[in-house]
Amino acid sequence: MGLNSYGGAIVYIDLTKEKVAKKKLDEDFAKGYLGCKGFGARILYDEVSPRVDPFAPENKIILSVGPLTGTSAFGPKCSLVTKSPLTGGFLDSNIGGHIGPELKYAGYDTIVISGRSKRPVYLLIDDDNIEFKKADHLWGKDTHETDRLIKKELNDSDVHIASIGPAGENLVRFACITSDLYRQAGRGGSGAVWGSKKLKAIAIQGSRSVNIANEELFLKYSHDLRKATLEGGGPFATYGTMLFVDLINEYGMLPTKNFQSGVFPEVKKINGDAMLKTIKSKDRACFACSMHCANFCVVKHGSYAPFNIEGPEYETTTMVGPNCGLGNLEAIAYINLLCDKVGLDTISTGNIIGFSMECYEKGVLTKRDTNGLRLTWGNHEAMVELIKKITYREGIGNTLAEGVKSASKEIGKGAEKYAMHVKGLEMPAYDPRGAVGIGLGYATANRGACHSRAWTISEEVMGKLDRFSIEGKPMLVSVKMHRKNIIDALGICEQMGLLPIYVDLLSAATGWNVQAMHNKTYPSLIEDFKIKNENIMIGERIYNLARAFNIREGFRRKEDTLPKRFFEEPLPEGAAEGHFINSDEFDKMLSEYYKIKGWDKNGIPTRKKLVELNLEDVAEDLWS
Amino acid sequence: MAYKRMVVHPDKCIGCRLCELVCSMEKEKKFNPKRARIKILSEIEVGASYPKVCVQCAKCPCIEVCENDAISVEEETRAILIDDGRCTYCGDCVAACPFGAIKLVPGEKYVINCDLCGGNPICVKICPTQAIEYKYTRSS
Repeated sequence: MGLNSYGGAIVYIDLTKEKVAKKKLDEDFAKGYLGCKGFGARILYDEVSPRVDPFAPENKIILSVGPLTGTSAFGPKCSLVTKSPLTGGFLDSNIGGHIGPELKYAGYDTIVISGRSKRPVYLLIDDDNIEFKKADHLWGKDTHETDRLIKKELNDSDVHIASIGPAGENLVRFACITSDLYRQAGRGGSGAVWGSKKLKAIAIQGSRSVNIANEELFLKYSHDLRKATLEGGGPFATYGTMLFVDLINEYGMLPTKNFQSGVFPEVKKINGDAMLKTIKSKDRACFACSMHCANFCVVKHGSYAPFNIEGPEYETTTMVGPNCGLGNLEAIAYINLLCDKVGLDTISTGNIIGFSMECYEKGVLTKRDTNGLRLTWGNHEAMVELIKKITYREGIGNTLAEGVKSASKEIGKGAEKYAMHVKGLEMPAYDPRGAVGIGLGYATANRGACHSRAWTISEEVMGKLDRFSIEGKPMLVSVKMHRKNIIDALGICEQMGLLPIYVDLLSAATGWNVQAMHNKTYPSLIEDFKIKNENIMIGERIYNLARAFNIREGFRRKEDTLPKRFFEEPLPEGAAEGHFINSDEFDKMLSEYYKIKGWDKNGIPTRKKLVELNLEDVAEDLWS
Repeated sequence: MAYKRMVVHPDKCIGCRLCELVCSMEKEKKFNPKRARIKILSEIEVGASYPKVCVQCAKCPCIEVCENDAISVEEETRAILIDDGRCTYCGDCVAACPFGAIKLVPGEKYVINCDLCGGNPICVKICPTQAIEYKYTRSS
């Protein structure tokens, strides 16, 4: 019997040679990196050497689950780690739903995919049996059709499938992976990496068991967790992330018209209440989760009806809606579905369309450049057409398919000042002028502009901190970064946060003595986990390892920044009117952050810090 | 005599499958949905989920079809029990069950069905949306 609560094996799949090799999961490795993103970060650092092109066969796709995946403790996430074709740096992206647990039931903690197939291929993972299946007939099909066809072909409706759509096949640099139709590993372009390897889909079926070290205790804690979720869910259980549309608009930081404003006048048409009244049909949940924050919507009216979708979520709604000047929830939901099917990240797509619309507004792009499309704010018909052009790389779509950073350079004529990204990853749906801490999070997250690596909204907007001041923010972001790395290594959902009970759950599941480390400044927050006798802060370790991957690729302090707009243009209206981020203060905040982190003034983790985290080999790489 | 039955409400089911997990833990001391006595059948395209579990039919097709008298009704709870000693894993009961509740565990000689946890079904206890109930019904 292997390790309790783990699948017990890592499998290496070489698409070039069509070879499979399995390796037993090592206990020290599990204790040192926990799972999910932790496993992915270590394997990517070790096995993808610097300067490898993200689309080269040498890049790897690392899918991992965590120690709580497949148990009753809400661990639905499967993490996907690779080198991002958008940023050229570290990428981790999570997928919810059911495919992670299925991978665990097949007996694996991690699959590492390398090489490049000559022909389109999909992988069938059925416990011990791993097959390379022809996918010529699936190439070109959207993710929903692919899901249906594979289930039919395998004559198995219980199999769980993750696939790419035509956007991934055509190497659109912000292509996503779709699983169980409505669940995505959205950010950073992992779908294009699949496309570069001619990997259309992975279908997983597992029938093995997950063993727990202390079953009785584990069940008790997981029942407590369920109870806490049901009692504490409140409006989140009803609205899900759509709860934030009104809130963030009230605080004047809801990205509107490509971050030109933080207030959307038509917000009432697209908020949580509008969803409940017009399109929501029922609650849905990820695997083993009592929260059921997902909204299943049945759209019966509007130009695109009838159709079904699980979603839209807050990020999609805001980036496709207000950020593109669109106040039509049915159209937003349809664009969400279209992106899921063709396999595009909705956040990046909304960002890039908003960028294109601002270029059009400012005369940088004209009808001649857009092949006749009138890219006026809120023109959803044009948005749908533009998404198709991006997917199939037609005309202007071919330029935009490279991501907002590259596209803005190619378009020129000053378009770069309308490109809202960090390190090449398009910015998500919180304007950092309304909460500078989240701006620091965007600047220092390893995958680029990401809201969820250090989601400071709870303290900055809903909490006591002055949201416009840099005071206390470096420490807050530092705590949040470590914390999020633990969440992402366990494979639990960020919406639940890192509750103290997860310490007990992980201990009961593995039989290890897991200890929570609380932050002194924010004593209510668990900052990190360590396992007794191991003495390593695991969250901080994973964060630094991913940082080291980026440092090795040449990322330095100058990449840890925000688009100029946030330093130069005050927000024109609403509760954050007049606010912008003072660039000297931002610099000061960044320096303080580096100091807290034990990084030098260029943002490189010091030898001392890396040794402290038991990453001596990484210290050698960076400092000798 | 009146007895309690399992009653499912597909309209309330959110498809989380927590019931499958606690069932397999209760019965097998490990997490494995394939070994659960309840199964959630999902049609994700339309956002629908249906809990498949034994509902203690008044007249049980599984018992009628079994040639080995391996299936019996427990007196107190009316749970439909399978006698492993008599069962030949022929699958006739699996085919006969109109609810798809009786299961063959894949790759093993093992047929499973809900035993009502002795009158206190754990899946009913943990379902976050009360999509499964254990109660007296008019027909019972």
